[in-house]
Formats: sequence, C-alpha cells, structure tokens
Amino acid sequence: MSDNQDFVLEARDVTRTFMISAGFMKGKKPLRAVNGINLQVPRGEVLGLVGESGCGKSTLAKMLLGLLPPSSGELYVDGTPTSQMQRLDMARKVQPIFQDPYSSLNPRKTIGDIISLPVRVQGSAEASSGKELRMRVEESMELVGLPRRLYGNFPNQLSGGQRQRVAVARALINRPEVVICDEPTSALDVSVQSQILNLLQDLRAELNLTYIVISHNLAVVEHMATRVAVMYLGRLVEVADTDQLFENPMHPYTKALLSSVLSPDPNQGVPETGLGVAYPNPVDPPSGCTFHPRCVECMSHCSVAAPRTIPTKTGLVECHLYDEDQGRGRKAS
Amino acid sequence: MSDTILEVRDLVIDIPVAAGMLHPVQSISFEVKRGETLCIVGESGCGKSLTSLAIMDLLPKAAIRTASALKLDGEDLQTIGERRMSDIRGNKMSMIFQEPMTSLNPAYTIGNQLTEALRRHKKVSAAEARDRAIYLLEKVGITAAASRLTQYPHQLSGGLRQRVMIAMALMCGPEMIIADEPTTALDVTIQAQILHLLADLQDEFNMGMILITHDLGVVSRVANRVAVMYAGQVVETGTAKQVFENPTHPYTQGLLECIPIPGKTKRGSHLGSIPGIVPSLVGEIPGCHFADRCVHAFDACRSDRVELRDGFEPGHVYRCLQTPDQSAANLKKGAA
Repeated sequence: MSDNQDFVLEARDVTRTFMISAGFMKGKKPLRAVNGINLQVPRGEVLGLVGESGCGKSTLAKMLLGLLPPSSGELYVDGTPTSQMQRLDMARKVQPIFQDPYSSLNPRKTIGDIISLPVRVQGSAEASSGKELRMRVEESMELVGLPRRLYGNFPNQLSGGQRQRVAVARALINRPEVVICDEPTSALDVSVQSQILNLLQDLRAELNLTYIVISHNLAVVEHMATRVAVMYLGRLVEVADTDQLFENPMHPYTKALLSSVLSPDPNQGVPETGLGVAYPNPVDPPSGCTFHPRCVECMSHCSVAAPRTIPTKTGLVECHLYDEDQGRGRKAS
Repeated sequence: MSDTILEVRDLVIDIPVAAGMLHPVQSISFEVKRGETLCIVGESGCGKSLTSLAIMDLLPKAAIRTASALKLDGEDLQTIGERRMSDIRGNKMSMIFQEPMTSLNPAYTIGNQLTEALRRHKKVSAAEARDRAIYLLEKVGITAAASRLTQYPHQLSGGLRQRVMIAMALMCGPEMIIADEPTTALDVTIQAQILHLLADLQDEFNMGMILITHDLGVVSRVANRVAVMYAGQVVETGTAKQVFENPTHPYTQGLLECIPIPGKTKRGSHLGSIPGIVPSLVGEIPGCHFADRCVHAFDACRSDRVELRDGFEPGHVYRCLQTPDQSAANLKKGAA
C-alpha cells in the first residue's frame, strides 16, 4: 500500500465497458458505465455515492461486491487486488443491502434460512453445527432488533421495516468489513425509513463497519455520510467531506443536484435546477467535459477538452473552472 | 362556473374481505378550488390512492363507495351513470398514475395512446389530435415531439414516460387533475422539472389539482392545502404553512421528525421514529386510530370517538383529543 492510511476499499483507474447493440445489423457500441474511477475508502468511513440514474452508481457497486469484474483497472479490498481473490473471500468482506426488501428476500424461505445463507455458503469456523448456526442467526436477529420468534416465519408475514432488518441481519451475520447499501430506505415508508437509518448508524459504531451508501435522496446522504462522491456519466466529478460538499459545492453539477433537494419548507417554491437538457445518452456521451451541455457555467473550451482531476482540500473535483492553466483558475482548496 | 371544482363530503369506502369488512377510507371530506393544489400525504395503506380512485369511479368491483356529496363542478358523480362518467373521465377530470413504467401500454405507440382519449371524447380529426399531442409533448419539455409519436414506451426513459403520462392526462384540457405520486420514480433533478411543469400548466389552464405523495418535501413546496391521512382518516388539514410550521396532530409531528432536514438535523444523530405499525382496518376501531403508536395517548384516546377540531388558526383542523396548546407543548418538548 502506498500510504500508511488504512484503506479498506480502493479503486485504481477502474473502468467497466458494456457492449450495447445499436440496432439490427449495426454491430455493437461500447457503453462506458464506469470510466476511470479512482477512489479510496478508509476504514470506518461512510461514503455517500450520488448521481442520477444511469450515471454508473450501481455498476460501481456491483464491481465492489465482486459481482462484475472491471474491464480495466484494479480494485483492492483490504489491500488485496480483487483479481487475485476468490469470490467467496470477497463475499466475506463486502456484503450488500438492497433497495427493495419486498423483492430481495426469497418468499419461499424462512427468515432463519435467509439470514443463515451467507454462513452456509461462505462457511464459518464457529458455526459448523446446526445448533451453532441457529445461535448465530438469533444473535444476528437480536443485533438488528428482530424478535427471535420470527425465525420460522416467511417474508410475507413481515412488515417492510422488518424485512429490511432481515436484509441487514443477513448482510452482517458473517461480520463483513464493508456494507454496500444501495438505496437502503427508498422503498420504505417515512416512519420506517428513520428506524432503518438509526439502526445502520448504531451498527456502524458497534461493529466498526464501513458503509457505501448509494442514494438519490441527498438528505439521507447528508445525514449518513462522512464523505460524498458525486458521479456523472461514469466519472467521479467531485469527492469531498460531507460538510465541505454540502456547504461549499464546487462542481456545477453538484450545485445543481443540491439545489434540487426539496426539504420541507412551505415558504419556498420548487427550485430551478438549471439542468435544462435531459441526461445524455451514455452510449454517445458529449465531447470534452461530458457535463457541458447542461452546465450553467460552461466555457468555450469545455466542449473540447476533458477536465483534469484536480485535488482539493478533502477530495477532488473535475472541472475546468478550477484548473489554473485553462479555466478562470478558481482556487480549488 | 363556481369556484370549487371538486367537492368530496363524507366519502366512505368499504371492501368486504374474508375476515369481515375492511374500512380503508372512513369519512373523508375536502374540496378543491380551481387553480388550487391539494396534497394528500400519508404512508402506504392509509387510503390515499383509493380516495383518488373513488373520485374517478375506478374502484375495484368489490369496493362499496358512499358519500354525502361527490361533485365535480356541481355535477353529482354518484347519480350519473357509467356513460356520463366515462365522458368525464380522461376529459373533464383526468388522472396521472404512478409508475410510468407500467401504466403505458407497451404494445401501442406513444401517439396512439396520446390521441385515444381525445378522439374518444371530442369530435376531432386524426390530424388535429396529432397536432394537439405534439403541442402537449413540447409543452411537457419533450424535444423532437413529432418523432416520439411513432415510438413505443420501451424506447423512452423513465423521465420521458412520466412526461408522456402527464401530456396524456392533459390532452382533453381537464379542469381537474389527480396526480398519484407523479415524481416518486424519478431522479431529483427531473422531479423539480416535472413539478415546475405541473405548476405552469395548472396556472395556464386554471386546473384544480390533487397531488398524492408521501414526500413531505414535495408537499411543502407545491401545496396550497395539505391533508394528512392516517389509517383511512384525515388526521390533519390546513394550508401548507399551517401544517408544516405548526403541526398539531402527533402523527404529523412524528412524520416531520422522521426525515433528516439538511441544515437542521444533526448529522449522524438519531432520527425520530414512530413505533409500532398501522392498525388493521378490518372491523371498527374504537377511539383514535393512532392511539397505539402515539406517545401522548391516554385512556380516553382508546375509547372515545375522536372528531376533527379547530387548531390555532381558522382552516387548520386536526383529529386529536389534545388541545392545540397541549400539542404545541408536546412539539416543543420533543424538540428539546
């Protein structure tokens, strides 16, 4: 490892390309869902990953989970390159929590079966017998606040909040180091949403977990995350500490995203985001800076040259505005 | 032409189920004026979607609808036959359904689906209907509208499909529109655009609008009036300002504490939560429906029938046994 800092996840120049059919007899075109991402996640951090649908958040999450190999570049989990790791070793360290607990739990398995599955698949030294396994499951259920009597129940007998707790228990039973939460609460009702967010916060402190929280609800990200990465068309356009990002957004896209957050305030109307043009087609991305057709601060050379990655005080930004050689040379830090 | 476009008095929906009678909507009353937006907020199962279906007369067959008044522009929707109702539906009053992914027919082109209602309701030629469709698609911000007409729903993105749904609802120039979660499936950036669009169109056509959502942020920004629903009842109603600045019902207060508010909620702190679950609506519930989840509940809450009462200001009513002063005190205590 380069630094003495303890990075539990690291991405170096990770790219994932899909070949998309362009039509009958037309051959295939490349779609760069993730296009050269560099990211370091220190242990114990909550990294919020935000961006519009189609920006590559979920592709990145799948690669971090080991469900999809990168086309190029390398991912490191605990300092080991994932290309040299077994699928199961990776699953022991990185676990997911999915968006919709109504579809992510097998309706024909009992809660006990669902929660114990990772142990049965990945194996575990402490839980070799059935009795020990059951103890592990019950311990995990207790951890997430599920009553033990639900052990033999089926998912359809549970409420939405309880189902999401099952998903959390399943993710945590083998004590992973990283949990990837893909929209953990957006399928839930408001009153249940807060319970799950509180639970995730408590568990992080208790088990020293690292989270990657993917959400389009920026209020949730601001609440949960210690650092935020903003994605646009497969690139990280801005990474910064949460305070810094929400109080002092740099990239025009971050600014537009933040302005579209609707916090409850009857004295304000719906804000104008300025993002007039629709999200571009990722198969045929705009030239230069891919954000330039929607950018309110677009300059003449933005459509020609792609911006460099400029380091900032707490992260990075990719925008000509902060490039001293080309842009207006705003101070990046 | 009266000022009130839609009047709903004591709307009740009952559905016979195996376990007895389900009461998903229990005596709901409201009215919507021209150019006004009423937001109905509530969690799943509170009866908000059924209320809108009842107004459109699109309830499932088993459901029984009764009301002391259900009037659109003075016309009693209960006594008119199905024939007149289908003249009104999609014409004078239309609905934007949630989930644009599933509510468009995948086997027909956008143009076909857009013009269907207009051709059915008004005497227009195919060319006129097509012109109107293009006009509205442009209005909802779709570029290259003419070429979209020959496309199928699967060729459009989620945001575009939602816009098509909105254009479709506006084809016949409705006077009343019901939008059921129109932005829930969309990105925040598109959400803002769609909300702007609805507001602009509403101004232009002077439509009454009911917006059904569970997103309190959206409600606070677009509503003239808000009705908070819980377990089949309206528990609090008032202007957006009244409800958001002086939430009086414990459920409304609880909901507002559940969401992180940028700049207000301390990062990483515990959010408020409402313990327990929504009660079963099969059979009668004596007393307040919220009593089992309410931290302020006392004995009378579980036995007495709770009626709507006035809040601090006129027009602000809520369904609780506590006085407005007690409620305000609770809110302060909760915040401290």
